[in-house]
Formats: sequence, C-alpha cells, structure tokens
Amino acid sequence: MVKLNDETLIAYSDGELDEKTAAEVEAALKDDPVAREIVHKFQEAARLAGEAFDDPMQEEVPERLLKLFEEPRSEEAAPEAPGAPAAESSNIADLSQIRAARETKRHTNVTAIEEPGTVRRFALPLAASLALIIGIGGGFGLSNFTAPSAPDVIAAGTIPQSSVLHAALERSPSLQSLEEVSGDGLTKNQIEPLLSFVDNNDRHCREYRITSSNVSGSQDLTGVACRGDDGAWTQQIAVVQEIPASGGYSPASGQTDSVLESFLNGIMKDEPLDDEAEARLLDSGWQ
Amino acid sequence: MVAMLPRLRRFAYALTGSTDLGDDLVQAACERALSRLDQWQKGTRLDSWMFRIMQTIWIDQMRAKKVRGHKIDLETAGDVAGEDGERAMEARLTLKRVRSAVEELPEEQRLVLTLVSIDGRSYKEAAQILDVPVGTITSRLARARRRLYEVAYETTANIAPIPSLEPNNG
Repeated sequence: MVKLNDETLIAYSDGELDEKTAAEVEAALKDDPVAREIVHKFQEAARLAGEAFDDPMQEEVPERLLKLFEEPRSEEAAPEAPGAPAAESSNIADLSQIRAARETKRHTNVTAIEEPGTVRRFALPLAASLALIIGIGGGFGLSNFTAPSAPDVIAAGTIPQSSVLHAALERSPSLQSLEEVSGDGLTKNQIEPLLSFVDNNDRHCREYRITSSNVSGSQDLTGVACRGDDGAWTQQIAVVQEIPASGGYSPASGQTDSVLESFLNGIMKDEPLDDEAEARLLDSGWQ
Repeated sequence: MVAMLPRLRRFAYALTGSTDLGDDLVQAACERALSRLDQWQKGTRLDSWMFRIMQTIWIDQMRAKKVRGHKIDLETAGDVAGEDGERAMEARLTLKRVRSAVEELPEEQRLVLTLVSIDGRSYKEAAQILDVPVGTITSRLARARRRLYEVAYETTANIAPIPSLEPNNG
C-alpha cells in the first residue's frame, strides 16, 4: 500500500503519479481527512502562485525586449545582433530589400491587402531562425504560442496535384494570382506566388500567399513549398493569420513576416530568382 | 522566441520578485541565447533551453551578491484600499503575501515552484532543466508549497496551516 507523505500527496495533487499509484492514494485518502486537507491546500498554494505572478501574461511585452529581436530601420547604422556573423546579417538585408521591392510592385499591381507600414522586420541570426521554426514544429506547440493574435503555424505536407495551389505554384509567375471559389460558393481564395528560389538541397521552392475571404472576414496563409524530382510540391511551412476587418494595424503580420523571413534565410541557397530565371523555369516545367 | 517572451517574463518575475528586475533577466538571457544558438541542440525544446539559461544567469547573479542584503518590505494595505470591497482587497493582499513568500524561499525551492506551479512544467521537465532527480523536485516542491500556503494565509486567523502527517514534519 502506498505511504501517504508530503511527496506522495504533492505529486498526487499535481497529477504526477502513475495510474496505479494514483488510485491507491485515492483509496487511502478516503479514510484520511488530514491527508485530504493537505492535498487541497497544496493545490490552493499552486493556484495562488500562478495567480500572483500572472501579470506578464496579461501585459504587452515591453519594447526594450522586443527590440532585441528587431532590426533597426536604418541599414547603415545597423549594429550586429549579438554574436551574429556579419555574412548572415547581410543575407537578411538582401532578402529584405528584395521583399520590399516586391511589395512595392505588388502594391502597384493589385489591391493592397496590408498597410505597407505594418511590416516589422526582425533580424535574427540564421540559427535563431531555424530554432524558431523547429521550436514551433517540434511539438512545444501552438498552445504555447501565447502572444496575443500570434499567427498559427501549420504543419508540412504534400500539396494535392489537383489543387489550385498546385497549379499556381507550377505555372503562375510571382505576384500573379489565381482565384478559386469554394464548393458552396461562400469562400473565395486568391492564390498568389510571391517569390521563387533554390534551397540548400537544390530544390526549386516558392513562397506563396492564399487570401481567403467570406462574409465573416478574411485570413491570409503565407507559406513556402518546394518541388521534388517527382513534380510534387511539399509545403515546408505555412503561417495563418486573420486579417482584421477594419484593415488596421495587425501586430501579427509582423510576426508572420519575421517567421517566414527567418525560415527563408535558413533554407535559401542564394538570392531569390529574378523574373527572367523564374519565367524560364515556368516555361520548361521546372527543369 | 518572441512568442515565448510573456512566459519568460512571468518566470523571471517570479524568480526576481519584480517585473523590472525580471525584464533585466529576460534581456540578459535572450542576449546570451542569441549569441549561443549554436549550443542549442536541435530537437530539444527551445523553451526549456531558454529557461535553463535564465536560471543559470539568475543563480550566478545570486552567488555574486553572496548575501542578499534586502528583505522584501511587506507593503501596507494603503495602496490597495479604496472602492474595492473588503474581499477583493483581501485577495490582493493574499497575492502580495504570496509574492513575498516566494521571494523568501530558498533559491532551489523557488526555481522548482516557478517551473512547476507557475509555468506548468511536469516534474520530469523541471528535473531536466535543473539537472536534479525527480525526487528532489518533489520534496522541494512540497516544502515550497507548504511555506507559501502558510505565509499567504498567516493573518487570516480562521484558516489553519497545512497539517502534518508525521510528528516532526514542517
């Protein structure tokens, strides 16, 4: 029979005992009002501890901490992130410029979805970017992604060949969108490749965005997919984000960009392909 | 890492007893983590690694100070009195006493309490972060929670302390 002592009771109160021991404790507690009181008070103490230090979970993170992960706006005066080798920083700067150029083009060609000023850029060293992705994908998970309005990050998978997304990745030049209406006619998806590049494994990859809208609002999915030798596109990462109906500032859009930017910097072999190189690949079926 | 900042701040708040000191600690830990990302092992939890860094820095700071020259001043009720009902005020005072009690705990008990009862880690995870056996986690946690409960309700005459099962325990 299990011995009731502080160690057993605290583990019981935290649900840390194996099933068999927990059942034994449960039985023993029936005849032991003092032990029951201890369990109750251990639980109360845990509740108090959680409540006493809860403020940071309710507050905005102070700017000075966010700044640690943020790249200064001015390129010249940019100090290195601690310990980040210079080469990695310049790689990030390049990508940022390319993205900025594409954003400009995009805003002149299509109806703007985002305010141009909402893009918040983060300069994480290369390894940091990988850590972020693996941290999310490695199961510590969405439930711990506690920042308010943090974008959801969804899992990898093969994109069905019959899908409009597959068609867009296979044949649409960057920044030209395909449209799709759901079977019930209620949701409209706009699918738009954003850029193309070669990854560290010499695969062709594309970043893309799907904007879905229906009467209740819209959301963005921004993802990266890579093409295998068999012609299948595999999603590497995707970040989903609600677009506020007001069209106002969305703090999550900065996170989406930082997550993807970090990810791209981690897997891109060189700079993104220019329009000509991309056009050649689209014509040749990615050969 | 940005997404886990609220949790890092809560952890640091509980360790240091103040959000300002806590934020200093979070900042130091993030800087160290960013500069040592090559030491993080892929496939292990990034948050556990961050907590480990944070507690290491904290312990170092504690050792550097050797003697903690300060006692947390148990502030008077003055600043919370007002339109609040008596019960709400009592609840706030209780939480304030809890914070003081956590402050006064021995360092190793506070770490365990913070990881398990505040951040919600399993005993096993806490044991890995602190590099001690699970049995040590259990006994430290029991001592910490006893102490905390007793301090939290010390002024409420009609609430009895946690009883003991063994004559010379606690």
